[in-house]
Amino acid sequence: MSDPEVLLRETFRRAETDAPQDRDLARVARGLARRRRRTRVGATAGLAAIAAVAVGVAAMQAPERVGEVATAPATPTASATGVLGKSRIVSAYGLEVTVPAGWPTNDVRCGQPTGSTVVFDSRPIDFCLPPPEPATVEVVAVGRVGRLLGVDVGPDPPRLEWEDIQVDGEPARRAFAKRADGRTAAALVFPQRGVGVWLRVHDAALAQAVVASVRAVSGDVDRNGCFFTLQPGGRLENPAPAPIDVGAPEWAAACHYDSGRLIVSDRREGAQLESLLDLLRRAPAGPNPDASPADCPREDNAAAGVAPPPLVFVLHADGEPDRRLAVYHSTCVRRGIEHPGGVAHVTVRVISAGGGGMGVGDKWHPAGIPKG
Amino acid sequence: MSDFDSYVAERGAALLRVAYLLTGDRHLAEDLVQDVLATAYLRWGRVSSADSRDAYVRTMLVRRHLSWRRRRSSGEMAAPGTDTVVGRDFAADYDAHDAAWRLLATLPRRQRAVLVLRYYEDLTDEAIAALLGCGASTVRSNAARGLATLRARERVTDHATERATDHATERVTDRAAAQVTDEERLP
Repeated sequence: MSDPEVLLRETFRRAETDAPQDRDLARVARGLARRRRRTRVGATAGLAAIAAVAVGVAAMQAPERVGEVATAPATPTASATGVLGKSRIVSAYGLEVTVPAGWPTNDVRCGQPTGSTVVFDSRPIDFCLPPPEPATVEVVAVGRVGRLLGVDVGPDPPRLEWEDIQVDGEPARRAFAKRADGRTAAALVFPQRGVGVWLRVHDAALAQAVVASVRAVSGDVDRNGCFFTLQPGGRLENPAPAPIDVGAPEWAAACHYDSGRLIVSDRREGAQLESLLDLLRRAPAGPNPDASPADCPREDNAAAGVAPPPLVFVLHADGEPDRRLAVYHSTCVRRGIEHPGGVAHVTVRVISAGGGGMGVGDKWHPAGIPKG
Repeated sequence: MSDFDSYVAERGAALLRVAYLLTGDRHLAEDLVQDVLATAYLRWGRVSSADSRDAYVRTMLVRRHLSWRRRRSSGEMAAPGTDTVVGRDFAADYDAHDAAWRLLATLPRRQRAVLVLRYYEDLTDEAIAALLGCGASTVRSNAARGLATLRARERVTDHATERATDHATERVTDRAAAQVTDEERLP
C-alpha cells in the first residue's frame, strides 16, 4: 500500500474500532463540571501558584448504588492488620492500599517483578525479553486499568469470578482466585475511576487483608497532603533567589504528578526526612540555569512556563500550614524549587530523594542541574 | 433526558473516536472528551445555540487537545518513537496499518490533527483552517509535512524491516547449516 493518503484513511478506519466506549460520559462530565464550578482550591502562602482543583480521578464520579451489593470494610480489620504485620500505606491514583512494609516499589525488570514488590503503572518501562516470572514473587499492583502492561495479572492469569461490592460508598468489583502456580490472585477494581489493585501472593489471608485495606479517597488531598490535581499556570513570577526555609516538620511527603494529576505519594520520616531536609537547606539560591536549546530541540518553552510541577514536597508540622515546595525539573527552562521564600536550585539528589523508592521522578534534563 | 444528555448519548461515541485518533491513547482520549464535555456542560447555552453543536464541540475538542498536549509535552515523556520502534519485533508483527499508526504517534500534534481532520473527518482545508484558527495554507503545509514524514519514515522502516528479515534469514540459514554439519558428524 504505497499511497499514504489511502493508507491513512484505512488506518484511521481500522483504529477507530479500538476507540474507548461511551461509559456514561454525560454523567461523568456533569460531575466534573460541578466539581470545577464548586471547588477551586488554592494552595496558600507563597505557593498560592499551585492551585488545586478537584477534578482529579478521585473526584470525577459521584457515588452510585449498584443494586444489592456487599459493603467492604473501610479499614483493615484487626485480623487483616495482623496478617499484614509491619505495613505501610501507599497512596496512588486516589487509592490507599496497605502493603507489607518490606516490599520495595517498582522492583521490575523487563516488565516483570524480580521480587516481592508494589508496582505502579508509572514505572519506567524497559523493553527486553523477560524471563518467566518465578512463582516465588508476590506482587501488589496499583494503577489504571489496562496500563499495567501485564504486571497486574501476571502470566497465565486465572479466570476471575467478579463480585460487585461498595468501597467507601463507591461501586467496585472484587475477585479472588487460586492460580495454577499456587499463588492467590485477587483484584479490586473501581470501574468509574478506571483504577484498581491487583495481587498475586502466597498467603490467601494476605490477599484478603490487602484487598480489605483498600480505600477510595475522595476530596482534594490525599493522606500525605498532596493535592490530587494541580492547575496549569500560576507559577511565581520572577521569584527571588532564596535558600529554602524548611522549618521543623514532623514528616514530609513527596507527591509525584503527571500533567498535574497525582500519580503517587509517599512520606519521608526519620532519617529519610533529615536527609531530605538537609538537601533542601543546602540547595543553592536562585533558579537553575536554562539548558541549551541544542539539548532540548523539542522543548516548548512557553508550555514550560505554565506546566504544573512533576514533584511537590509537602513539609508538615503539626499546628502549622503545610509548606509546599514545587520542584520543576523535567523541562529545559524555568527549573528550580519554588518555595514560599522564592526559588532555589533543584539538584539531582533532591530529585532522587523525592523519587527514591517510588520508581518515578527519575527523568530530567541534566544540563544545568547540579548533583547537590 | 436533558438536551446535554441527548447530545452526549448521540455524539459521545463519535467524539471518543476522534479523540482516540488525535491522542492515540484510549485513556487520554477518555480524559480529553470528559474534559471537553465538562466545559461544554458549563456553557451549554452557548453550545446549543451554535449553528452546529457538533462543529462547536469538535472545535473545542481539537483545540483542547492541542493546548493540552502542549502542556503535557513539557512533562515527563518517553522519547519520541521509543515505544514504537525499540524492542518491537517488526519481523513478526509488521503490518502497514500498524506501522502507519505507530508513525502517526511520532508526528507533531498539529500535523496529526490536520491528518485526522482531513482523512478521517473528511473536512476541507478551509474548514480545518477555521477549526484550528489558522490559514488554509498552514493546513496544507502541515498536511504535506505530515505525509512527507510518514512517507520518509515508512521507507526507513521498510528498509530496516527488510534488513532485519534478511539478518534473521541469514541466522536461520547459518543455524540450519550448522545443524546439518552437526548431523553429518553424527555416527
